Amino acid sequence: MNIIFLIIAILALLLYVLNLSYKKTVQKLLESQHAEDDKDGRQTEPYQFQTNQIKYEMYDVKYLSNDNLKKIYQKVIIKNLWNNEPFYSLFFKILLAVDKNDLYIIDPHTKVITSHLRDENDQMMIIKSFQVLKTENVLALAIMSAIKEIVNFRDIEEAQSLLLALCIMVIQKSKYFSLYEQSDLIQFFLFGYDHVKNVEAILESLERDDYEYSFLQRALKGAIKSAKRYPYVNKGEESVSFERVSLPPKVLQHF
Amino acid sequence: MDDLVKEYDKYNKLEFRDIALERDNAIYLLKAIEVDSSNKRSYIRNVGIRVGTTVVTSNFCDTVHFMEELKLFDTGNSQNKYFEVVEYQKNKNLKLKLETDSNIFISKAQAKGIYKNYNLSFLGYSMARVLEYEFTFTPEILTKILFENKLLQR
Repeated sequence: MNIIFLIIAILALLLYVLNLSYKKTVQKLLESQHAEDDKDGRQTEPYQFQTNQIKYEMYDVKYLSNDNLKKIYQKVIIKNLWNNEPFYSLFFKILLAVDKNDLYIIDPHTKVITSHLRDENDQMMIIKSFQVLKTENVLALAIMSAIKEIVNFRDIEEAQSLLLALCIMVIQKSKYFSLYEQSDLIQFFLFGYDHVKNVEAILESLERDDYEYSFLQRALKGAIKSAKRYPYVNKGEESVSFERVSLPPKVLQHF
Repeated sequence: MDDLVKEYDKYNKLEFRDIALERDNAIYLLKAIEVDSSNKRSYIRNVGIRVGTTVVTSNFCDTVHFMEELKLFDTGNSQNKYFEVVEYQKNKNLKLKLETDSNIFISKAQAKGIYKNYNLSFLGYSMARVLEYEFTFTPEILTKILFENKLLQR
């Protein structure tokens, strides 16, 4: 019995010693490989690009006053570096136009209350009160919810056309532009864009309930549903006007 | 006194109430109330009448005239501003003069009920300030009130 125990103990010891020696040899091999790498000049850590040193010629965000539109500008243009012309200028011009003009969309779930009031000369006047949404907020919300899917399109021209098509869809919903034809709007806002036909095709396919681009309509519906409501009073004459905006100069800046 | 009331307006917030006078035809009273916490009194500052989606009167004076025409019922005549006396199967009714498609008829009992609710709604409030220091509903203020009281939601 004792002899068997002794043999087992000796075997275990032998195995332990063998294992130790194997580990040491592996370590030595690895160390020698690292030493060779350093001699060749190859670095084990990846080289970090110093992107913060690069300057780009771009429009300043300060020209936009609405915070939501500023966020959109950061998320769409700066994050993806979509500063290729003419898309960049057209998109910025749309943001500026929506920001500077008080465009509104009539809330689809509003009651219109007609009121008979007297003015300071005791003359009767009839006003209409209803709820509206600000176009700039709806545009920001719609882009915010659709941008992930837009960026996923591999073709950058298609992705940018989708974004412009979404802008046209939102602008067409606003009261001021509701009577305009879609083609007039495209002519008005996207004049000089080399992929206008892409935008037109996207808008046409949306009218046919195409599944591929249906996420744009979902984004628009969601934005209209969740945007903040504001009271609005119509005193008879339409007071909203639309002013054309001109592009500010580009500035060299880094991000 | 005028300055005093203006001074009050800074501190005493006006509250707005929508009180049902008759629910079948959606006739409501739109009241502006000033709550004066310093002497524990509430003052009525303006009263208007809303019928469905139409605000028919928006100042106290017009509202009183509206209610008096309602009270006169069929003894009123064609010179009425808000109501027209109509006869259907020998029953006399009041028809509200509105520029909407739907016609609103008010029977005698309903008219009495509306008048009673209207009088009850003033209990506990002081009327001292409503005539002289009436709070005027401008288009913007009225719209804001309707919006804040969620009357513009469907």
